Amino acid sequence: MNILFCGFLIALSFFLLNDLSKVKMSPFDYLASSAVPSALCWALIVLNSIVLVRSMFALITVSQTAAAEKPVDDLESGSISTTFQLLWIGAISIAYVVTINFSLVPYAVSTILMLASCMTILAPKDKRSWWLIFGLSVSVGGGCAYVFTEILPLPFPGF
Amino acid sequence: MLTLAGVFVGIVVGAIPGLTGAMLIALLLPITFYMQPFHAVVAIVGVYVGSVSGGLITAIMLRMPGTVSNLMTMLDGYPMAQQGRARRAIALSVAASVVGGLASWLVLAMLAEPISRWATRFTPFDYFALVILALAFVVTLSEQAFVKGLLAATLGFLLALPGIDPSSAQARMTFGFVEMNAGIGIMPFFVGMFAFGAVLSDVLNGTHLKKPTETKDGDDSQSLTLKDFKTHGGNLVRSSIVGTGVGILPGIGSNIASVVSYTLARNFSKTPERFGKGAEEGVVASETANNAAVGGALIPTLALGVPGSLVDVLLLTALTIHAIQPGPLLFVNSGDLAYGLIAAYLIATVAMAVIVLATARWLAAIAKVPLYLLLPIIIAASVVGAFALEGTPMSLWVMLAFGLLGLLMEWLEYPLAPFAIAFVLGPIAEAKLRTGMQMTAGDWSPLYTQPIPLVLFVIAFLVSALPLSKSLLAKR
Repeated sequence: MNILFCGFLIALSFFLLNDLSKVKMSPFDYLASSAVPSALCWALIVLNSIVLVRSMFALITVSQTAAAEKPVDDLESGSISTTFQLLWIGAISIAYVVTINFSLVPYAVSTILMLASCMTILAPKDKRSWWLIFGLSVSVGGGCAYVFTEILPLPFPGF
Repeated sequence: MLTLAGVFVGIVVGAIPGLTGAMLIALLLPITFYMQPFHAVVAIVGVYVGSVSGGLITAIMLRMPGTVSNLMTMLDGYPMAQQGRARRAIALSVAASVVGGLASWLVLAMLAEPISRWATRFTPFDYFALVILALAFVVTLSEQAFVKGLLAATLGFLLALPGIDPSSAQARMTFGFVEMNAGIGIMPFFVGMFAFGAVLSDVLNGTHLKKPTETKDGDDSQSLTLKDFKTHGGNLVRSSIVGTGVGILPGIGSNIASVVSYTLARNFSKTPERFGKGAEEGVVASETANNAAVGGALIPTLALGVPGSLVDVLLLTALTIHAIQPGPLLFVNSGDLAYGLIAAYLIATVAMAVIVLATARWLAAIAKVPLYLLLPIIIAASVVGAFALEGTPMSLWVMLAFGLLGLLMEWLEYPLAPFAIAFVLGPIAEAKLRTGMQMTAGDWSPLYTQPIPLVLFVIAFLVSALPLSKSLLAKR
């Protein structure tokens, strides 16, 4: 994952350098607008290359030593369930922002739905209380909608 | 009253594992926009002080440190509670917190204005060198690897620069999007990084599924006496000095202060083998230092405009939102506000002790409120926080993007402190350098011929070279 992240940052740096090359130097400026960001882009490329090489080396070393070892059961450690929860929470958050940005549904409705679905996903199965989740979602979502659309005039989608 | 309310809310949030003071302050910033600048700042100082101490109760009673800075307190506080000395552990922690807080307040009150007055003579090149020194400290003294810290700082600096360049009025790194002309908003950035990102991080780490460990009841009759202050006097003084000193260093904060102080206390102790098994010195050292670091960190924040910790970055942002420029001119232009803030810190420290002692039992119960109910509410609050100031769709996308970036960086073990501090200080460094160049008609020489920048650059070089040489020596 670190390799992907570094690769992405190197690509981003080149992309930004391409954009910065179009910025012209002002005749009244002793340091061009693109000078500092360009230097930072080159620094980012160098530093990411170092981390990239280190990560690849570490990956090769770990792959060689771990080849004979039995893989850890992720189901027991719970990492699979938290990763799924994370993906769900991320997807719900993005959907929540989309509904606000494009005014798809009223703010109160989207907030209540977001709260209820996140609480349902995060709560352990044996402790899931539908009344508590429903009550808390409606009261917090309704309260937020009242405060942020009626009292404080934020441009959230209203009814 | 706002300070007291801030302390109370900070303590409650600090007591809940998974929630942090930085998260709360990031969410409170948009609300402070509707307040008077003084009210906003004292409320934030209250939250700051409260959140550092709130976690000590849960660290001792439930073996769940509310914040990272209470981790070292837990190492000896929880064993003390298991031995039936929970109340004594809490009383010692609170007393140590007050001593640490008061010691650093004294240093803050005495040094902030003189440093600030001295800094008014700084040229743009001096200030540029100071910011570079601050970034060098943040990068090298952060807990993570040097290269990753440097990479995080470079990325933070770079991401702060898109938009219209204030010097030349040219758009840079906007890719032709008009929405990008204003740059990346500081509020969506902070809310994304420290509120939404922290929620995602909690979910990934399974913090919301962890169960607290209960302590057993025992003989709690042993209360604090003056003899205790005599016994722990040396430790209190040493930990106060360490906490304040570490706090002054940019970007380090209470977490490192408590670790350094705890380690020193163990090294100085006649019975180091008792550490981790309920040693009172451990609790005292940790709590004194983490509270002293708060006051220490406020010194560079107020006097130089260079944040001493992550939370101080948010304090600087609150001042900037209200068009108050922190730094050398703060005491000249807004002296009332600066001294009000210092007074608020003193009130907050005393109030923290009273509130923690009075509500200890309830705080332990609050920490049991399940995080799976609280985390979704923080997501809703993050959306409001990011949207409140700018009210643009762009701010929400920025909040989401930085939340995901924060999660990714934490997961891949990139330190967040250099990233966030470079995001705030980077544009200042660039602006100062360019102003200096304008003043000298493009002459770079003051950077290496003037004494202040030269000394600051040499210190920055030494600070950066030290961990590198250490790691090279270790490899040999």
